[in-house]
Amino acid sequence: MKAVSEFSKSKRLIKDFKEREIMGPGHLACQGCGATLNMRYLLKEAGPNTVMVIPACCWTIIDGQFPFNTLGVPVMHTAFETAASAASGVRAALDRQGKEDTNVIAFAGDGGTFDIGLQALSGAAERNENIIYCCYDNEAYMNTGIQRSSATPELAWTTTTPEGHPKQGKKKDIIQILAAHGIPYAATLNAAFPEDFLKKVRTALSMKGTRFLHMISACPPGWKIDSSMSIKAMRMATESKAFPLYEVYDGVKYHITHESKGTPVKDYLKMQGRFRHLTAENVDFIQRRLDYQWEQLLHRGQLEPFNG
Amino acid sequence: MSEKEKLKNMDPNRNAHEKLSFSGISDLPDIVISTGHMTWNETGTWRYMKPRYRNLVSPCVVGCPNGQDVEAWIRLISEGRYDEALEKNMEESPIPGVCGRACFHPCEKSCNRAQFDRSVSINNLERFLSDHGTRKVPKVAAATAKSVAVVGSGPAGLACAYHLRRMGHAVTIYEAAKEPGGVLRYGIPDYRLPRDMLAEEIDVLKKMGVEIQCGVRVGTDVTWKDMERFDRVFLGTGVHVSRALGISGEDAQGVMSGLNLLKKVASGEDVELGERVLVIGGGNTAIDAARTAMRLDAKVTILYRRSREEMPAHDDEVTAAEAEGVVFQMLAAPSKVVTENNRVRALECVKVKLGQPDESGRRRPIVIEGSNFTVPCDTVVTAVGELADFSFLPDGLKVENGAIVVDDSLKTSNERYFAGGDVVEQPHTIVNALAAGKRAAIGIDCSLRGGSFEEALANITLATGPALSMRQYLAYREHKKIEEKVPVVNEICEYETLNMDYFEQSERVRKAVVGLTERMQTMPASAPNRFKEVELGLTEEQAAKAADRCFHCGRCIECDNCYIFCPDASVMPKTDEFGYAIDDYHCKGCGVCVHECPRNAMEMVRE
Repeated sequence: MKAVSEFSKSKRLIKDFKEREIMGPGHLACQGCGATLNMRYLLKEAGPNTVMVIPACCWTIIDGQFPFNTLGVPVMHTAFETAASAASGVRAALDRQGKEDTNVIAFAGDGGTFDIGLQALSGAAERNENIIYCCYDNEAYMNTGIQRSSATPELAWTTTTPEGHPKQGKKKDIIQILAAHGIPYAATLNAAFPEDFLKKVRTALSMKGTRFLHMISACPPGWKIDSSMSIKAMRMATESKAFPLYEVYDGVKYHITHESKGTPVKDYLKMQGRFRHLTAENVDFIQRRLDYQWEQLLHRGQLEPFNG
Repeated sequence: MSEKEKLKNMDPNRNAHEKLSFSGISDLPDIVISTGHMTWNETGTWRYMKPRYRNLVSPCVVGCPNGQDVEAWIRLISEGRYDEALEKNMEESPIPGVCGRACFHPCEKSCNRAQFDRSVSINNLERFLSDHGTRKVPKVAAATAKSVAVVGSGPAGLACAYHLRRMGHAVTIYEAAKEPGGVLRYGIPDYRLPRDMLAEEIDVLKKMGVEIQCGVRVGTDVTWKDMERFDRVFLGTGVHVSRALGISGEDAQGVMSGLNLLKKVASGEDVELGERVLVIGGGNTAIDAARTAMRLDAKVTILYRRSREEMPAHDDEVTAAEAEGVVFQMLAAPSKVVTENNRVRALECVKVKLGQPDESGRRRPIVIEGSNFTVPCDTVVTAVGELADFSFLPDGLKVENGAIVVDDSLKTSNERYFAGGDVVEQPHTIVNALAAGKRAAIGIDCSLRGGSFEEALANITLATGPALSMRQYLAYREHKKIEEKVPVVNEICEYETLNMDYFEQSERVRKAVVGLTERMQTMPASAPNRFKEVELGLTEEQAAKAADRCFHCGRCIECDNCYIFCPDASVMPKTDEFGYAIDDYHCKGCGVCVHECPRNAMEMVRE
């Protein structure tokens, strides 16, 4: 028998990627949009037996106008603040019809999650509604013209935090907020790491209760990067610890899924126009903050869950 | 039913389409539901640059003077297709087993991986495929009614005969020695290159119909006049005369040349060396002679007039010689052979120091006056370079600086004669000889068919050259175009253009060698197999690991990155053939696929 080389086994990054493609071409996203990749990977795993709930966000537009829909699954467009509550309602209606195996997925931007939809999300999480809530995080209100959100990273430029008045305060730690609700599963996902991304979606799909998936999503116009660099930017976000990849079970058990290479955050910031104004001290400050947050995460990863 | 109606009936969403048109607000249902797909929206119109698949030339391919398609056969090895890998290798060379053992592998120097961690073990992989692949006799084209004589059966002669035979010409090799192989048979010791291996590879040539006449010295046993019955003659006679030391006592009994020693041992003759052997020189012949003498129970010292760094011998060989117990006396030059009854007793030497670099780039040795010392010895082996012997050549061939003068197609001053290998001015290595054999075969074929060599060259030179592709020439001479899976741009893929995010550092695979203890035990003359091969081949696991380290620079290997990372789902793997198709109607031209291609097998082109 011939030894099968590691190469031929792993030649394709993801072996079964060719199957079950649901999201089609022709959508209205900008060139190099990270959010479309998030949707594409998510739907690939979730399959056709899915109902999407999309509040006001980029994806309201990307999906296409009536009577067209780029997603091969039913989509319910809702108001900005109601993604989680609308998804809860869809879930209840489907359960009533006996369609308990249908996935209900809310897919909201960072504005609809971190700011405007937070109360609905918190309510759903507290009730532990049987839904998957995905936040694709492009770190500002990109759809309406790059306004700051509470997901905007520290010192970044947006149209409402122009040069000279960059965003103050760190990015809101949404996973901590959701973990505090004690939901079964919360995780950070990055489309630049497809294997890890799909694995986490599979984990979420295999569970019941409120599952929260936080996806980084490069935005070439908003981040001021070339459209070809969006995967690179997302990868750098994780490798520089700005967006570490980890998952939290039941709000307590932390599990880091990708050891960041520790690339200096300078390299990540330098490639984006929205950080062009940063001074060396600014960069150093961000680096120290990220190092601290990474340490914090490591500590949480080591803590044994409470065992009453 | 019309074709159009048929298609419409086949569409599962045909009713959905009907609902897509509304004549007015009153037409809309109470709950509006989007049922149409967005594929009508041809977002391809947004783009002004378009991604394109194209392969480049991997640097190893050009790094090999013989133009081996290294990347291609490494990929076949990694897929476990050893037979096809060997076949691929033999498109360019008749002797992969020899090269996998004795080539100095310049390809590994040009390997892009060398700039990342350490180069891929190309040489070891070549040996692996010659050990594990089944040799197939290459296809021979229909007979051309032309005949060529090849004088000398070293690497240049073998390559020339092999390629000419593949083109359908009748080829006869004349070899003066008893066995074919030239320097491969008589100049490289058995522990580096086993005879069986060489015989097996020469056997392929015989099976192809190459006639090999051994023990026939052209110019003596057959005349140059006899050669006129051939349409062309290739001279690959190599260099056989050892350069003299130019000191007194050199012709005493017990002074012999390194080449002579190697040849005698290879022919199975008895050699009396005595107890202490002194080898003079720092090249590969010196090291081979020293290690051979070690295996004949002698105590061996190498005398070299420069330092270790300047030694032209390959580093691996020097290290192996040191490990086997050869003593090195650096910075010393011989001044006189001390004789007694015309028999060597000792060698008088002087110490030297190194001065300014000379024209070869190495520092020139300067004799330190009065530093004479004497080394007692029983045999002196000289290995300070080799010269060609031109006394046998036919009249009228131009010779300059100890080499036959040839043009770009390796044609000599007589248009019926071609020459290549060590006998012309080029580096004296196996792979350069192979390349010369190939070039001459192409030159001869062009001149026999009346084709232009320059035009052929323009079609078959790999990137910057001078390496040539025989695969391309065989197609070119039949006026065919090679159908590549992916279009090829004839440029080298540079290291800077690779995407290093997808590669991790890994340890270079080293092949095993026979342990020193075991080697020493088999060395005494009484041992039956004292010239046993020292280096062992790679195991299948090692080979798979070594092959996995290849970046596949500039070549699409269907890694799927372009497909996975396409935000517009517009890159589709082809189901029935190699590679991917790009949906031109929807590709927005963002360039993610091109940037995320790990090996620079894609580019953006203006439309």
